[in-house]
Amino acid sequence: MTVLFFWLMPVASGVAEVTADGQFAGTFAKTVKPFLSKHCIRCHDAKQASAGFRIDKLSAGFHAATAADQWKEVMDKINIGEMPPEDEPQPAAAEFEPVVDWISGQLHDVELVARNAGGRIPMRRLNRDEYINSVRDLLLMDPLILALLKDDLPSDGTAEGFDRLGIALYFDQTQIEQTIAVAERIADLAIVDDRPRTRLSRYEFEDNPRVKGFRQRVKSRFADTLVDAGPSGAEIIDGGVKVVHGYGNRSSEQPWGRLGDINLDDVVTEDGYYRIRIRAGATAGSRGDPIKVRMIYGRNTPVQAIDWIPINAPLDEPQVVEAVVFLRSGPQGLKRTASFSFNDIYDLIVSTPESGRIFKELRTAIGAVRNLKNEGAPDRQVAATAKALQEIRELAANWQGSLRYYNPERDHEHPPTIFIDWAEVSGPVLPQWPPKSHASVLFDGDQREDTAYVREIFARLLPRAYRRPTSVAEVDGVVELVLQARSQGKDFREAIRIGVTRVLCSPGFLFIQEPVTDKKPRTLTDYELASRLSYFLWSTMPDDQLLELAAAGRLSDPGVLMDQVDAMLDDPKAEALVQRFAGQWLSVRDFGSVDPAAQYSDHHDEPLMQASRLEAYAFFREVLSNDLPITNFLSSDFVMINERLATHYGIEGVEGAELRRVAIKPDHHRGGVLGMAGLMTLLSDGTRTLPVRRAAWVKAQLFGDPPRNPPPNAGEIQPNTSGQNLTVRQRLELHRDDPTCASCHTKLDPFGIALENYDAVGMWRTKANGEGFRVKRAPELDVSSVFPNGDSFDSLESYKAGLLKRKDEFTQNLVKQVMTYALTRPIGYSDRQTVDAIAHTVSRRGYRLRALIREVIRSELFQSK
Amino acid sequence: MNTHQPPSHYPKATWRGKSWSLDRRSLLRGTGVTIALPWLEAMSPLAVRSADAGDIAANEIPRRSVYCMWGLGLNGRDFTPATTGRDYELTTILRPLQKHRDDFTIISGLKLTHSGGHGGDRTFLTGTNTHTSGEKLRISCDQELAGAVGHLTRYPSLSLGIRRGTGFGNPQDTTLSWSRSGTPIPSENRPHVLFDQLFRPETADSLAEREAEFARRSSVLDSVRSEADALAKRLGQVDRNKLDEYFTGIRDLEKKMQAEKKWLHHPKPSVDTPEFGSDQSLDPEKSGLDYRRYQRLMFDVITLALQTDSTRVISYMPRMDNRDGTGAFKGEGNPYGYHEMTHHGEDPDKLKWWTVADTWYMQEWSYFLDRLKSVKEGDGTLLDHTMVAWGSSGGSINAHNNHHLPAILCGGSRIGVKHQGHVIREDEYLGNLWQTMFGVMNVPVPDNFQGGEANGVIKELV
Repeated sequence: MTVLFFWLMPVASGVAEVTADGQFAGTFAKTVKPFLSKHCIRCHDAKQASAGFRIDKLSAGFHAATAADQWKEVMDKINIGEMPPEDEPQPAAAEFEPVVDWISGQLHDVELVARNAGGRIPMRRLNRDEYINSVRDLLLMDPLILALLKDDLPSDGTAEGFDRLGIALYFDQTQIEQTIAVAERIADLAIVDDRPRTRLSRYEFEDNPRVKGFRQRVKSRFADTLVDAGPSGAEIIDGGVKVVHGYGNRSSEQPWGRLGDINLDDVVTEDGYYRIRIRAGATAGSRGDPIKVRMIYGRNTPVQAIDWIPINAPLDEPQVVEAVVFLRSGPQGLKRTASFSFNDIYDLIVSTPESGRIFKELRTAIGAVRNLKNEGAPDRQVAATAKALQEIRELAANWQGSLRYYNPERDHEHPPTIFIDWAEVSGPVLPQWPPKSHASVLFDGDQREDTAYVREIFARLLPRAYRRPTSVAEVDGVVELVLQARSQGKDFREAIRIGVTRVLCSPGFLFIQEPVTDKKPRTLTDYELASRLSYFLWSTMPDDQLLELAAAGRLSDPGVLMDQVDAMLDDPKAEALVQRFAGQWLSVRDFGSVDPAAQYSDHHDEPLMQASRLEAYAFFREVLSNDLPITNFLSSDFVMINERLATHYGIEGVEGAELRRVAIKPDHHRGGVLGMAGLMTLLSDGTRTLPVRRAAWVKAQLFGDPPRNPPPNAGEIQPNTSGQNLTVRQRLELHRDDPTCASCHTKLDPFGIALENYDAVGMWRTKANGEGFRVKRAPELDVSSVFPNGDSFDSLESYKAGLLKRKDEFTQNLVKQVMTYALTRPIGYSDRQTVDAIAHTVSRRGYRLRALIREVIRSELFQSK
Repeated sequence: MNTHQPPSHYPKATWRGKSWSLDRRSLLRGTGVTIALPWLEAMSPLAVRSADAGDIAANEIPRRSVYCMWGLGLNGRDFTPATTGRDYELTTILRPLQKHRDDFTIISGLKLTHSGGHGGDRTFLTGTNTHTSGEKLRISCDQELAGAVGHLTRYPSLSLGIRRGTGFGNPQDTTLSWSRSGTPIPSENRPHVLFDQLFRPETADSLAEREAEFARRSSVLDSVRSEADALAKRLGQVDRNKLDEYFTGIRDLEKKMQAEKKWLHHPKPSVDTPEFGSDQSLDPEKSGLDYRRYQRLMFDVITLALQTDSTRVISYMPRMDNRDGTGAFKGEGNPYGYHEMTHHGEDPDKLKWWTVADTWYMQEWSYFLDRLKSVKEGDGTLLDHTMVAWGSSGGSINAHNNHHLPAILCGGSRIGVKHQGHVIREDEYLGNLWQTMFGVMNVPVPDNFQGGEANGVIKELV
C-alpha cells in the first residue's frame, strides 16, 4: 500500500497547483485506500498478481501517460463491473463511485500536466524516407536514383508501430557517418562536371547462333542419320529474323518466345536511364493479342528490370520503336544481359509424337544401362539391357520422320509473327544537361566563380532546405566552409559540393525544429505548421505554395488550412501517406515475411504475394481518395484486386495485372482488411493458421486494445501431433481449460476464431486443411463464438457484423493511430479528450477518413509546440 | 565506455616498416591459403604495439571472441546429448565435430527472456531488443567488447552476415550488432569485399583520397557543430537532449576518424589471396549461390582476420533462416524448407530431414574449427586463443521457443576456457555465456549488461 502512495506523490506534486494537498491526501486515505485494500489488493499483490496486474505496486518511475493508463484500467474494470470478479463480494455503487470519481479527477489533472510539458511534441530528426524525399524536392533530383541511396542510410527505429516518432529516431556516430557519406554522393550527383559519355550496344538478331541453327535437315538426335527437322520457328530474311516461335526449352508457364540476348556489360556501367530501340514489325495473326517485345535485364539478379514494348508496325513495314528504362549496374562483376522475347504461342511447334516416344525410350534405355553398370550388376543382366538399347538405336536409325511439326491444335497458317531486325541499348540517357539539380543550385550558370555567387547560391538554397527564413549567420556558416575549400585549392564546383554536403548534414535540414523560449505551449508559427503538415501528409518538405502561404502568414487561417489539406491529399505526393501510414498500421510492410510451405505452392506464389501488398495499399488509397467511411476497413462491399488475387479469391471476370475496384457479394467472403490474403498469410506460420495471432492483431491494430503478453508460465498451443487429429479450435479449447490461460483467452480467442475460414495462405475454406488432414476426413470448421460483450456469432459474416457494432471503438483507435503518426509522439491517456472529441466529430461526419485527418490537423495538439 | 575511445597508449608510428619488411616476413601454409604471419615471431608489430599498450605482455597472444547465430534452433532430439560431462556420447548432429570434441562444450538450458524463434536475432547479443516492443534499442555485447579492446586493432570489430546491411524494418534483421544508441550496424556478406577491406594494400591514390575525405569531413563536422551550438540556445530542455545525441555522434565520429587516420599509414597485413574465383557464389545477394563454397570462403577470411590481429571481435549470422534462400542443405534430396522443418508437427519425415540438414550445417562448423586449428600460435593454435560461440535464438525443444537454446562454446583452451563436454544450466540466461566470455577476455562486465539479462558466469567453463 505504501508503494501505491509513493507513486501518487510525484503526480500529486505536479498537480499540487490544482488540487489542495490536504484534499488530495484526505480523499485518498479516507475513500480510495480502504476500497483498494478491501476489494483489490488481496489478489493483485506480490503473491498472486492476478492477470499480471499488481495494484499494490503501480510503481513510481512510469511516465505520466503510462501510469495514467494503468489507473485508467483500474477505473474501467471497476466501472464495467468486471472487477472485483463475480465470486468476490461486490461493492455497492455508493462505495465504488467516489473511487472512480477520484481516479477520474486525478487523471484529468494529469492530463493538464502532460499538456504543459510531456504532451509537447519533441524535436526529431527526419527519418530516411523523409530525408530522401526532402532531397528530391530540394535539389529536384530523380527519385529512382535517390531510392538507391536510401538503402545506405541507417534504418530508423520504430515506436508505437511507426518509424517517425522522436523517441525512436536516434543520432549516433554511425548515423552521422552514413548521413555524410550519402550527402557526399548526393552532392556528386547533383553538381556535375563533364557530360558522361553515352555508350551503345547493338545486336543484329540474324547473328543469333540459335536462329542460324534452324535448318531443314538435321542430324538425328538418335542416330548418325539426317532427318527432316520439321517446321522452323524462325527464318532469316531481309537482314533480320522472322519468328513465329521462339527457341529454347519452354514450359506452359513461359509463354514468351526467346528472340535473343544482348550483352550490356560495357553499356550499363552506372545506375540510370537507358534507351532501348528496336526495329521490328509484327502481326498478331489469328490469335489477336497485339505483339509485345519483353526485355528482361539482369534476370534473377538483384537488379532485374522488365519492360514491355508494343510492336505496332506491320510485319512487312518494320519501324523503330523505343523505350526508356531505368537500369542499375549492380555489383561489380555482375553479368549484365538483356534478354528479348515476344508473346508467341508457346506450343505452336512441338515434337512429333514418334520422335518424342523414341527419344524417351532411348533415354530410358541409356539410363538403365548406366545404372546397372554403376550398381555393379551381373554382366549377363547388363548385356541384356545393352541389347535392348541397341534395338532401340536401330529403330531410331531407321526412322525417317521429322523431329518437329505444327501442333494441329494451333492455327499455324496465321500465327502471331514478328520480324525483328536489330535492338540497341544506349545510355545513360540524360533528360537534360546539366541536370535540374545543377541548374537550380548554380542558378546563374557555370561561368561565375566569385565569392558573391557562393553567397547568393546558399542564400537561395538554405531557406528551402531549412523550410523557414534563415539568418545571415546561418548562411555565413555554409559560405565560410565553401570559401575555405576554395582557399585550399578546390575548384568551384567541388567547393559548392562540399557546401551542399554540409547543408544536407546540418541540424537545420535534419531536424524538424520548433524552438521554444517559454515553458508554456505555444501556437506553431506558419512555417512550422507548413513543415508539420507536409511531413505528415507527404513525408517531405513543404512545397513553394505552402511556404508562400506561410510567408504571408495565411496558412494558419482555418479556411486556408483546410483547403490546403484537401489539395495535399489529392496531390500524388499523398501516396507517401498511403504507403507509410497504411504500410505500418496494416502491417503491409511485413507481408511476404511468412514463407508458405510447399503444400500451398498450388495456391501461393510470388505474384500473389506482390499483388497482396498492392491490394492493401490500393484499398487504403481508395478510401482516402474517395473519402469513404473508415468502416470499410472492417467490412466493405468492394475489393481492390487484379487477376491473380481474383483467382485466389474465386472472383470471376477480372483480367490483367492492374488492380481495380471490384464489387463483391457476401458469398465471396471478402472485403475489409480481414479479407486480404496477404494479412491472413502473415498471421499464420506458413503451415497452419494462428487464430490467437490473428485475434491479437485484430485487437491491437483495429481496436487499439492489444492483449497482454502471456504470463511467463503459459503453455503453448502445439502443432497437431500425429495420431491426434484435433482442429486448431479443439486445441485452443484445451488451452482454455487451463484457468491461467482462460482469463485472457476467453476474451481474446473470439476475435480470431471466425477467421479460421481463411487458411494459412488466406484461401477460403470450410473444412480444416493444411495439417495433414485427409481431404475426405477433414472436419468441418466451427467458427462460432461469443464476443466478450455477450454478442454471439456463427459465421464470418455475423463476426464482421459484430465488429461493425464496435465501430466507435475502431474509430477511436484509428484516431489514435493517425495522431501517433501525425504528432510523432505516443498518444496516452492524457490525450483522451482530444481523441474522444475527434472520434465524435468523425462519427458525425459519416466516419469519413478525410474528416478524421482534417480533425487531427485542426486539433490544438497538432498546431502547438 | 566509448566504442571508439582513442587509445591513450596508441602505437607510435615508429614501428612502421620495421617488422613488416619483406625479408622478415615468414610464410605460413594453411589449408589452401598461404599467409604472411605478421606478429607471432619476435619483433612483430603486434609485440611492439603490445609492449606500448601495456594491456597485454609483449609475448602474449591476443584473446578474441566470435559470436555466430544460427537462427531457429535445431532438432534438439538429435543434438542434445543424453548425459552430461566429458564422456557424453556424441549425437547425430554433433558427430561432424568428433575430432574437436576436446575443444568445445555444449551448454544446455539457456534462455532469452524477451524473444526467441523468429525474432530472436535481435535479442541474441543484446538480451533485450525485440522486434515488437517499442522499447529503446540497446547495444549488443560484441560492440561493448569492441569498446574495450577495439582500439588495439585496425578494426574494432567486424559485423558479418549472409545478408548485407541491417535488414532493419523487415521482420528479420541481417546483423547481430547494435551500437550504443541502438542503431543496427550493417553487416558485410561478400568474402572478397571483406578480404579487400582487410588486406588490400593502400595505394598512393587511395591514401590521398582517404586523407582528402578525412579533411573534408572534419571541416563539414566542424561547420555543422557551430550551427548546432547556435541552435541549442533556442531549444527547450527535451529538444536540447535530442540535439546532444547529435553532438555526441559528431564527437564519436571525429574520434573514430582520428583512429582510422592513424591506421591508414600502417600497412595492412600481407596475405595471399584465397581462390575467390569470379563467379556469383561470392555474393549471396545474387542467385545461384554455392552456399558451401561461400561459407568456407567466409570462414577462411574470418580466420585470416583473426590470425593477422586485424580484429578481435566478430559477429556473424551465417544462415538465412526463415526464408532459407540458400536451400544448400537440400542436396541430399530434402524436400522441405528449413523453416518448414522447424514446424514439423511431429511428422517423422520432417524430423528426419531436419536432422540431416542440421548435420550438414555442423559439417560447415567443423570446417571453421579446422581452419582455426590449422593456424599455429605459440605452443597452441588460433582456436586455443579464440572463443567461438555457436548459438541460436531458437530452442532445442521447440525451435520457436526462447528457452533451451542450443549453445556451443568452442576454443579458448589456452586463455582460460575449461571444456566440460556437456553441461546443463537450466533456465539460465544466454547472457551468462556472454558474461563468461567477457571474463575470459579480461574485460569488466559493463553496466546494465544485456539489459539485466545476465546474472553470472557459467562457472564450469572457467
